[in-house]
Amino acid sequence: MRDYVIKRISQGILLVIVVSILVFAMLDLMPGDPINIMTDRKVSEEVKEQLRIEYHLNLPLHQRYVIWVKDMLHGNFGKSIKSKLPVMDMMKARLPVTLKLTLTALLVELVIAVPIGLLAAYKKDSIFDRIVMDVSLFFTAVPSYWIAVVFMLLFAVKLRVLPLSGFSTPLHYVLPVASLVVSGIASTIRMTKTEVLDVLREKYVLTAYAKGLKKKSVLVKHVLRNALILVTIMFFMSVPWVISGAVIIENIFTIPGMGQMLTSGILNQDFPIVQACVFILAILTVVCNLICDIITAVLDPRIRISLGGEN
Amino acid sequence: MEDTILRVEHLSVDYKIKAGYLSAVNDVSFSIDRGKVLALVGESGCGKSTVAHTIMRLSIDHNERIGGNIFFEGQDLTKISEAEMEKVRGKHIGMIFQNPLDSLNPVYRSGSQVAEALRLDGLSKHEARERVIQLYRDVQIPNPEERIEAFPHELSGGMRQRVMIAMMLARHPQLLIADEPTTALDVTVEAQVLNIMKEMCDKEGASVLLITHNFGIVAEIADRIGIMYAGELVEEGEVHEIFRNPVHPYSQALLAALPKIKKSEGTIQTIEGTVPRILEKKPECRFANRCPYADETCRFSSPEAKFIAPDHMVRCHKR
Repeated sequence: MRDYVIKRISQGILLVIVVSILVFAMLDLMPGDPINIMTDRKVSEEVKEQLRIEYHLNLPLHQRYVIWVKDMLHGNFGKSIKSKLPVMDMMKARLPVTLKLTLTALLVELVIAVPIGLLAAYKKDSIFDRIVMDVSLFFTAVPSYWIAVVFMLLFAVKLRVLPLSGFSTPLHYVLPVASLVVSGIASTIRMTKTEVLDVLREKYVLTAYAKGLKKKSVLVKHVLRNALILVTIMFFMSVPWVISGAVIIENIFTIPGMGQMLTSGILNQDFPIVQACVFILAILTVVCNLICDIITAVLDPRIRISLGGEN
Repeated sequence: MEDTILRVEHLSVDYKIKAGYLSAVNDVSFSIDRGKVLALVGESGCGKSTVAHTIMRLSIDHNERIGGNIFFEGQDLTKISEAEMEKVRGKHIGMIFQNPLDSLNPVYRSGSQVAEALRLDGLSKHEARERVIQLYRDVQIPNPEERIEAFPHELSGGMRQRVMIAMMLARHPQLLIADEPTTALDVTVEAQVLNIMKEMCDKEGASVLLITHNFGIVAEIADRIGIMYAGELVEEGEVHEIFRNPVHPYSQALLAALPKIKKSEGTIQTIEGTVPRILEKKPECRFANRCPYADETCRFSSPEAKFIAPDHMVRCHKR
């Protein structure tokens, strides 16, 4: 198990390095000169040249990469071209906001979706199952921004029970979290249902019944326990996705999160910001994959054995 | 008069499929006496496993229609509620499945799965553990103290089936249903596992309903044998009687199909054709299309069960 974790961590580090090179190189391929965007047309060539030197844009790509990595290792992601603020400080303010938003949404989603999926599988083809499946099909088809706008109209404008936008109090998070949950919950319900249906067909479920266990114990101890292995995997795999996918919701509710920072960074060719954001997302992906692998190994003894030998 | 523990009367099971109902079991009646072993034998798909699952009321899809009665200790299992059935399963009737490889939950230690059954009877964790170790010893699992901590995939097929036997006999059921318990095992392991199962049942005084297609096993441990064909019980009687004097053409063909060492011929006897899927119940003998003796009567009327000796039932027009 320990060897396995060490192996996975080193693989992860390698992956982060590769991604960082890609991110760095690809931004360089983007058309347009960032210096032209940040300066007015009247600014003289000398001043522009000086700015280039300040941002190391006069150096070849590989040298710039080395400087970037060195700075980054010292906790310095450079300065934003647009706002002139250190990217690190901007990130520090925004990353927690995004994490708070998306992790809450994911947790709420799981807590609601898993029991519904379990019940829908257990009562397959019942009215409950059919309603759940139809409704979830509807919400899969509807984009999250539409739901967000409808929620805003309904709860903030018409009923005036919740704040329209912002992020200062927990109440402000209700609508954004709800929009994220509603748009993502359908797939989780469907996935849980499919997985539970698969497990229900396993022989050991019959064994559990045969030894005299009650339905509820069979469902929770034997069916759900095994179905949750896959659900956990999907959960952790979707964390980085949700963070980058929360962009739209963040924009609609004017929540200053990572997503908003990334989109405006791309639009302004603010390359230090884009590099930092993509890099952080890459690290998050790698970390989530790692957590996911370790948790699966803990949940499923078969994987544990095939990995390390000892448990 | 001997004490009957299980009496199945006119049991029929039809599975609902798109085209209508598929008759898996039709008008099957038999009974098992206390402490005895009845073997149900037949080709794949003849409905013998369906009989077993129906007695335990273990249905996955809930798409079947059940007719007839199953009396266990005087109680009709087809009539009682699911909650009452939960009290019968494990406590009064245990069941061992065909494939020990996937009959145990892969994420729990084998011993804890046996203990889970014992805990239903109110044993404390510690008592359950002690009892599981004892049970492992009874089914001859070496190093029981260590093996209870093993996950199913760390045990061989034979060991897993021993765990299943321990689990299913843990609560002292009066009847054990063994659905092809050794089909997935090596021949050498097969004999060991069977002997352990038989010994345990003898010790507990439990009756056994053994589902198999292996006549060797039947000869070894069964008291009575029922031969099934296409969902019907075609012949039933005492083991020696059936082996010596098979009356139904299907039983005769089945016994003739056993490879015999003495014979110098290079070919193995087979029965032409396959078991039909019965979609529509028609008045006919279900074996007619493969039977060498079949005539018009067989094709247009169903044979009734009749007793050619007080203890020997057969379902055939020609006998």
